[in-house]
Amino acid sequence: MKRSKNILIRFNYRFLSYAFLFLLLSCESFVDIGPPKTQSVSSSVYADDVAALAAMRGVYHEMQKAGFASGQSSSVTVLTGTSSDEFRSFNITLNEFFNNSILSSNQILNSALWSSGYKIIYYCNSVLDGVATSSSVSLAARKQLEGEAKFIRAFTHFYLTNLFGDVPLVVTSDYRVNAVSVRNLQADVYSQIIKDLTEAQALLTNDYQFSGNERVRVNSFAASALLARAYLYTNNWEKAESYATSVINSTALYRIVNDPAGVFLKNSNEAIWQLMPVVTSQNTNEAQYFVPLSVSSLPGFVSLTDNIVNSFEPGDKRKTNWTGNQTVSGTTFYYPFKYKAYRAGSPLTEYSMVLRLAEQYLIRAEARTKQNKFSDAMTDIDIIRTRAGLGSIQVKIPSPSMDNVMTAIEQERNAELFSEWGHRWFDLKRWNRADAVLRPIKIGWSQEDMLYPIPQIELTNNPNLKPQNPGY
Amino acid sequence: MKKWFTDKGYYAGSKEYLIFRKITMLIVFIFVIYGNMNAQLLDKKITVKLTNVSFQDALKEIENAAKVRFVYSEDQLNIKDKVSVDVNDKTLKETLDTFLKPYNISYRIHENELSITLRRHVQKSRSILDPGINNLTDDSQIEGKVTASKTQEGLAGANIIVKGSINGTTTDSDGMYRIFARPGDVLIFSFIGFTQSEVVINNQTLIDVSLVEDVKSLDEVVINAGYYQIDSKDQTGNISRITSKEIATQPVINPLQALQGRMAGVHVSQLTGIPGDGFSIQIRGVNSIRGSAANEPLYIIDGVPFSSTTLFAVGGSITKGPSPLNSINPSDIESIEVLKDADATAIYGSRGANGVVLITTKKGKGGKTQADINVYTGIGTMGNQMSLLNTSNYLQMRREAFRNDGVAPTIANAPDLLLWDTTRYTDWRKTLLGGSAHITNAQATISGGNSNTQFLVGAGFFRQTTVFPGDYNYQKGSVHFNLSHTTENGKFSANVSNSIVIDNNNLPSVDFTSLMFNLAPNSPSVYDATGNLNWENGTWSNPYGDMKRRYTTSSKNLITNANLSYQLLPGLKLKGNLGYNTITSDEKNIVPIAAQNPANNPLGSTISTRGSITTWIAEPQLDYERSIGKGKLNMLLGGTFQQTVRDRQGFFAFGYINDTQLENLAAASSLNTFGIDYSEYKYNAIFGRVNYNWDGKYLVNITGRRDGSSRFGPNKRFANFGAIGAAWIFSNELFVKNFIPGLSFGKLRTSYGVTGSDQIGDYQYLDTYSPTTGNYQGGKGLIPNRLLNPDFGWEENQKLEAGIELGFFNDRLFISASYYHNRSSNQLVGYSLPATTGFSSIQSNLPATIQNTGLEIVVSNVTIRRKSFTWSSSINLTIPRNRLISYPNIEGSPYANTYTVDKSLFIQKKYRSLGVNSQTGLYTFEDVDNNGSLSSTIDTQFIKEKAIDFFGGIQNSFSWQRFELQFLFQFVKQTGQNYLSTLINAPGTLANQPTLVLNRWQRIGDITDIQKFSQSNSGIIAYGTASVFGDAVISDASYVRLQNVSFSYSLPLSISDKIRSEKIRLYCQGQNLFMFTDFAGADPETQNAVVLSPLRLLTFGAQITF
Repeated sequence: MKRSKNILIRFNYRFLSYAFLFLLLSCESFVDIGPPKTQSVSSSVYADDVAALAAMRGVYHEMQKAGFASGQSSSVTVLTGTSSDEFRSFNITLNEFFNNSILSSNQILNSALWSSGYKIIYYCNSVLDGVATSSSVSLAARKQLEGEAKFIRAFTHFYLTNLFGDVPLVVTSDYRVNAVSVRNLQADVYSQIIKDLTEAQALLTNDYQFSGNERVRVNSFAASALLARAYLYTNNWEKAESYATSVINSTALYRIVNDPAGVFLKNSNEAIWQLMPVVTSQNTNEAQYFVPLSVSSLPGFVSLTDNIVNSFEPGDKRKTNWTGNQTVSGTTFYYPFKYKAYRAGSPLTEYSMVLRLAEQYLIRAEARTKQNKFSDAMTDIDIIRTRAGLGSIQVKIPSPSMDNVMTAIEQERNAELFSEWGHRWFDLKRWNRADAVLRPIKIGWSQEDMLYPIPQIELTNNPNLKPQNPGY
Repeated sequence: MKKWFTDKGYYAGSKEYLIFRKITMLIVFIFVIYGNMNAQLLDKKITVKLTNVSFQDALKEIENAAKVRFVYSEDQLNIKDKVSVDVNDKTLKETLDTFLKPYNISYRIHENELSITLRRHVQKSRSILDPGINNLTDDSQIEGKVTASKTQEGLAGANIIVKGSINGTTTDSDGMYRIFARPGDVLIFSFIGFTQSEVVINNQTLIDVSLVEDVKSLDEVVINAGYYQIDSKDQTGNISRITSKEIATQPVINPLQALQGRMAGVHVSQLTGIPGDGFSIQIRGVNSIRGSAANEPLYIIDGVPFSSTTLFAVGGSITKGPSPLNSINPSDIESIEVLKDADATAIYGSRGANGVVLITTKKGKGGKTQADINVYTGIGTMGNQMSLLNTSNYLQMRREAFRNDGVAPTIANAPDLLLWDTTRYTDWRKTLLGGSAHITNAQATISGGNSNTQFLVGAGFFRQTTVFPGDYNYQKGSVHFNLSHTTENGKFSANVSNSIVIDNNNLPSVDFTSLMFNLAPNSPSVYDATGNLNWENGTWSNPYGDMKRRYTTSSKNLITNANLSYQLLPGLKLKGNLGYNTITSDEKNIVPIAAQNPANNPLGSTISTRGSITTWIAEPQLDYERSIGKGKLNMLLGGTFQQTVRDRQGFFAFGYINDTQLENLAAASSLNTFGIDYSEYKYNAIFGRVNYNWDGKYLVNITGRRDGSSRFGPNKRFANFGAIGAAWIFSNELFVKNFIPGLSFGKLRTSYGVTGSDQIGDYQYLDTYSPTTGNYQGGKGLIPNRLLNPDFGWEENQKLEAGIELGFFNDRLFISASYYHNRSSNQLVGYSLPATTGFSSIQSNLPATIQNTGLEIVVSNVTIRRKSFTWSSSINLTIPRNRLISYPNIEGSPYANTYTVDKSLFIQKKYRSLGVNSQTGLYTFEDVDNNGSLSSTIDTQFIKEKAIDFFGGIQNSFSWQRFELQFLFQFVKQTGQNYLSTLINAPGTLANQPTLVLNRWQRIGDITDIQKFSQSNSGIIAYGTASVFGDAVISDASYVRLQNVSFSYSLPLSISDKIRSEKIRLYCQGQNLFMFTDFAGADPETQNAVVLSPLRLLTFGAQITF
């Protein structure tokens, strides 16, 4: 009896020790907590169409929220406009851009232009990787998302190369590859842009049904429109003309809006692609930043230069409709007034225009001019002039030549596309007009200022990006 | 010993008697205060005369005669003899001694004084359950009682061990023990706080031992090291400690404040004087580059980890970051131990890099039920704040500014000169900060129990108002409960604690200190003729409007834990620590319409944040102790399972059209969420400790931990940490004793080990997507948060320490000095990436290394000890140094403009101030590259340090008869940010200035360090540059502060007896009474001129113990 009890106790101790040791065993599974509840791991993002679409919506949202495509004070629109002859600056943060003396350490240059661009490209690449590796996203959604991601990747590369010259082409989401990337020749960058756009054009649908008939996501015409611009910038006149034509001929979707005041409204007939404002109870960033908040204050950041203001012909409806003015201490300041809904809380009536039909007419006019089709070119210009309430250019230029039609195109692009997306800065550059136009009006101007410097910290973090652009 | 009663044991009384007894017990427990009456019962004279009666009958007669009950086991006292008793007016003691001795029966009086337990000591066969089982066959049972010499009360849980064997036992709740041993064996009796005693067994079977209490010496101090306890003299590591005694002298809200100035190596500073605001704590410097959250120590409250990071997310509120530690009632704390070196912290593994703060709450004590009531009340007044210009100086400044600028004042740029009454004067400092904060604190505890079961129940209430005008207050209510039980045989014990603290903070949402600088002294009257807030046509911002903006927080904190222990074998215990903590908080920042100028058609808004942090922990442990040779071996093996869940939601509600529904989010016209966060943290570990103490001279302590944390990727979840500590108590060596006569204690110790840090936040290794802030096309988008890096691992902190401890003249002078040398490497920081990757960095381990070294010296000293007078003092001094040893490619990292290799982490890169240009009167700076303009990346080459040279405290206590006086001076030698860095308005603009600006530049040729008064752009830009980028913002911020004074008087017993209390103590306490400093600013501790400085507190209180 005693003995058996003894054994029992020993057994108990042994059992307890085992139980204890078992308890102590660190179990891998215990510290495996699974995915977070307020964030999604990438695999789950591409597990179905809805979540994958949300990832794409995230790209548009971030473009509009901040950075080069936002229309804010640090967007391509404002910064290049300040560097060129469009804007006068009122803000110390824009001084380096206004004086064309940008330091490679400039924070805005880095965060708003370079880094924001490559961030959007990374988002696009991760969407492309995500849908490519996912087996549960439907074929239709995959096509759609792939098309959109390729478009935006091309769109972003387009701005990067036009701002910085030779830039790295980033077509993967692998940071180990991207961290050591080299600068590709601008020609190669354009090849990739055109390749992406061509593929996007084939993948995307030719209407806006997929986006609830709102023009806030890109369709195949957006790809054609950007292709027209890319071919124009690379002097491929035939293709520029034909892609512009394909957009212009889609009259079921796109028509010139007769009243200039209606052009920048949301989903206007002229819109090929608009970005939807993302801040609650606020319309476009452009309206917020360009329009002075009260009758007595200076424009917040920039005002239009005399150069722009004086370029309007008498009677141009665009001057009265698309510019505003305010007199402070006896000086009259003009500001871009294409977007009018600047008050917080006003109903959402305007979207930020990225691609619109008028530009396609001007692209085609230029492409046709370069092919010596002056009459066709002037017909295109007249479509724009008619809306502005101006007489036919054909009357003004009875004997057209390459020179005088190009001059007319420059004048028309200024009056039509001012304060939009850096058109002026890029035009000056590709027409080699910068020196002639800017030298007289900019202190310390140098030809090398046409390219912005690569941010210094990028050269430090990735020496493969050296050398710096000349002049910096 | 329970067996004793349950083996057919019976009470020599009726059932009614039993019930009566229970009720009596209860009454005794709660109300009655009995003195020591044992003597009285035994001294009772009785007369009994009996002849040839049965033994049992004789007992009954004695019971009747003495009015007492005997409790015994019939089996045991089965004595068949006929006995005779003949006592005449003899004491009960004499009677029992004579009557019982022949039968080898011992007796013991129960605490209730109503019964006496009898026990017969006989040789009996050993039970197989008895712990003495492994002994040789011819040993005999020894029994007896272990008592404290002073009180003669039994000591429960005293250790008895047969010298040189593993045979041991512990005493039961009454101090009784039973052990098997052979004649010739030596029994060692030991109990914490008492000197050990050895008794050689001859032939006796009854050995009662009285242990002598260790008088005030180092031995007495038992340090809580977390998973184990250790005598401070046997420590191999470095642990600092304060107890409830020091805490009680300070009227503080937050336990961290009680540490200030009292611990070497621990620097605590108060962020603001706002009640409920946070503290920053640094234990041996800054180990991580990743900012303050990554440098927080680990807090453990009664074994339960406690989160120190605030749940709140509201920006721009009055507080700088309310501390969750406010949810601990300082009065409930028994001791706070801070673990500093590797030897002490390595057992906490991945969480020990920044030190460990152990908070132990009060536990019940056995013995008579004691009630303690402590109430104090007092006032707090404005601390060090800068003095401001009065109206005439102010107007002079403004007019001079316009004159300097060559600009004529207009009603737009100078309403103060042209529109407002220039004869008005409001002393805004006095108006906004000149009030008195009323402090009320009431605490009551009842503790008691018997030797088996002890309890403590405490409740507390604290309330402090503010110095601001308006009805604001901070309130804290708490209930604390503790119950401990040890079984009669001492094998099983349980300790359960539970505390609930609710704190409510009701404050304005702006610190009025910042407002006083924004206001002109001749600003318009606060109210207009009709009694409404006066906005003076929108020309000023009325501070009484801000007063209506409310900031409220309320949190509820529940901590509950259970410690269970069961002795499996002599020396071997199985323990379990189970804990649960949940803290929920609700924060609101409310801007009513009434707070704003009605001319602007304002709307109301509310920012609301809610959240909770819930932690549970389970820690099974095995504890083994035995003697080997001349030494003692302690071993510990344990495991940890822990989960922490943080949950937070923020709401921004805007567009309220009236002020009645501001706390109803549904009434807002627009409602946005922010800061939505849910994260889970799981943690799993095995830890162990081996400690060997050879002959009280040589000590080795090895600790280790294998950790797993959910914060790392699957490949990096587990890692090992460990430390070894060794000490040599050379004062126990004969040759030392003989050669250094004054030396009473001497120890050399050293430790080395590796701890880690996993404080990087949860899920950082995953490439997750988060929802976008806004909608696009009717829905939220998803954007990638970060790049995937499943391979980063722990930050490593190597700690090396050497120390010496010397006691002289019976430890009346005690000196300890330690030197630490810590290097934290494998820094977990964003590894910079070129932006072409889409991100600026990837979370990764960098071979960056930070070194913290330092010297800590503590001298404590009992200078005079006379019968009625003692004076003791102690000084602690810490000299810390910090250096960034390496950081590969720092130029390309986000820290390029913050840190420099070979300098400390406290540097600031600034423009070099060239002072005020004697021609222009403006601040000027060195243009390093001479390009004509200042660049924040190129010209900020001048490195200044904002660092501590040394800090410490001097404590003195005097006691004379019934008076006690204690005071603490805190001193810090440091450089800090002066007023220039926090005052954003240039002197000359429409805002008030500190009086020191009067020393400004006035005319060409003036040499001064204050720029001219100016309200123009050039003046504002020069001032702004100086304030943000100039190196003149850093200057000396050293101070000596009379941090704490406590004076108390205990009433003589003749008075306290009258109200049946044991002790009545009256006291007054002061906090932050005065300061010596040359600091250019408000308070060198906060180093921020626009926040409320720590208040000056004076309280009066009384403590009554029943």
